[in-house]
Amino acid sequence: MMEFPVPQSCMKLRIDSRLDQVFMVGHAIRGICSHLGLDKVVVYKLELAVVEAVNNAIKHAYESRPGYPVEITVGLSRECLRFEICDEGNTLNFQRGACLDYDPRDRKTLPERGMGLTIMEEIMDEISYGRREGRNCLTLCKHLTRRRSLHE
Amino acid sequence: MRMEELKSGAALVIKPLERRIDAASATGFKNTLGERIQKGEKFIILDLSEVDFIDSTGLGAIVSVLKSLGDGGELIICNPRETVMSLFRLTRMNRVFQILPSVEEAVASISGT
Repeated sequence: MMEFPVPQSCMKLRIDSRLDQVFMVGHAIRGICSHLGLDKVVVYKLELAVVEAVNNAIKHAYESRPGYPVEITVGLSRECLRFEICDEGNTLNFQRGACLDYDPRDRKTLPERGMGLTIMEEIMDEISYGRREGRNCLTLCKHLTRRRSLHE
Repeated sequence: MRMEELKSGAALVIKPLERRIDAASATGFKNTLGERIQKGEKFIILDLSEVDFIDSTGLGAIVSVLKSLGDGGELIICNPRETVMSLFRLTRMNRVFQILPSVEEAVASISGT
């Protein structure tokens, strides 16, 4: 797995594997990112990336079964904002480089699902997925030292 | 999901009153609009002025509604917030949907079809 900078401060959130709990994670991420003074569109995108990751853990790692933990660690360092989403479910076949391939003029080709990974890759600067201490961990990192990351 | 509905000419204007269209609410959203389509609605205007968060499952539900309308129907998005609009751009769905700044313009667009 890729090595990320050690966070200077971090916070852990833990929810049950239920989609109706994910909004709480979203609100927490939004609050933290807003507090950092990030642009509101960037805040939205960071919330979106984390929500997509948590949704994936619930829907795919746990196959939508409630009663299992999803843990989200938010780490902040000078270099980056880091989110780690961990579950104890099935390990996913996480393939990088996903892209949305459809013809905007042809309704039959429009995707109704499978957009989450592309969205995460578009938003985040670094993504890593692997097993650690018996859990699946997806790490999302957004650089804070690049002006583009803060204001795009 | 709570929604306001208003018939305006040939169009059905739907305004979700919840702030999120996400994986938890997408199925209810899709089913409600699916019922309206089953009853014969062909032109739907989706007023997103109250919505401040849509995830990929919510977006997928909106796409599903568009597909359910068939080639003769239309789904126009109006009043999206800048944040929600960024999702449409990120996924290139801004090239799929007609997105207008007001319900009035959306109704006029449908009246002209």
